[in-house]
Amino acid sequence: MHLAPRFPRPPATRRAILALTLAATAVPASIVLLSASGSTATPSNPYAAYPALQSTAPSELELVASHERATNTGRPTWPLQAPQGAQSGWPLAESIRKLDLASPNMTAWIARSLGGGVCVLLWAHQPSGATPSIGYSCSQESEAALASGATARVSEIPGEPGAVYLAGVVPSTVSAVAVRLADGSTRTVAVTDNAWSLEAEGEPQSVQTIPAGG
Amino acid sequence: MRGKLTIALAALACCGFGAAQAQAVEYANHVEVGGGANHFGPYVYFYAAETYPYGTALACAGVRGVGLNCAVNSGESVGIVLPYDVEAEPYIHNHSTWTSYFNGYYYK
Repeated sequence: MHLAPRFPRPPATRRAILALTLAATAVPASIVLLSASGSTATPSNPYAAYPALQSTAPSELELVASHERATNTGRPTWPLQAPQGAQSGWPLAESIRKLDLASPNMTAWIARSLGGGVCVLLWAHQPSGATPSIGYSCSQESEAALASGATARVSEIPGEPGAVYLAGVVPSTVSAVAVRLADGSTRTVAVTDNAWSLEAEGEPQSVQTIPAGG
Repeated sequence: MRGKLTIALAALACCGFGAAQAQAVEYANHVEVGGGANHFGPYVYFYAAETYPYGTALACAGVRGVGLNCAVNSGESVGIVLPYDVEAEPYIHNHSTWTSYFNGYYYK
């Protein structure tokens, strides 16, 4: 049995209804899509000035699940997981990347902090038998703080009186760092891949960044 | 079934998957430290010390007898991490020339 529509419409009317239906669906959908794309515009990457964070080279820093029952292997380690109650300045293990330093007596890494800052981690190669510690410093998460970078200054190492090890990370807009030393002299250190480092005797007085082209 | 469950639990325990997560302990809250002075924490077992400055002070975090790490920029947080637990004192050093306030943590 063939069931014919109760009120058959001519083809032109059917086409008009179809066109109106499509338009009624497409216009609001496109408005929604356009407004959505406008409101969720991709935010700028706060770490764009730190390409060292994208390095794929091995970090050469052993990540450990626990410090319990660990022994001195002569090399530092880093917790795989942030400790419970870790504060905003804790460097995140998964973001740690090795830095290319000119100083043979230290190793340094860059990382993101739990709170959104940038960190530098510094291992000054302590004398054999000493505890291989990592000193770290992290900036706050603000744009201004990220633009300043972070610097670690490790000192008071047993057996190395007066020795001070410095390593820092700065944005790629910085080409060099001028360090005023304890004796009043100034040493200028080049920045390579966001990193700089310096070994000194006595506490440095100040550190100033020199912008590229400056 | 019970045997398999026991084996699985034993494997988890032996391989460290069940290891307790480290935790932060606040040993100093808004403590006043004079310029160039130290504030020592308790004598405890721990593997990391951390210092947070208030304002624009230059903070340092230390482990007595092991080392000291200081910030160079104002307001940076600093810490020092060891590869194993030590029995010592975590401490705060104010590297500024003025009196300021700090929070201190150790991790165990």
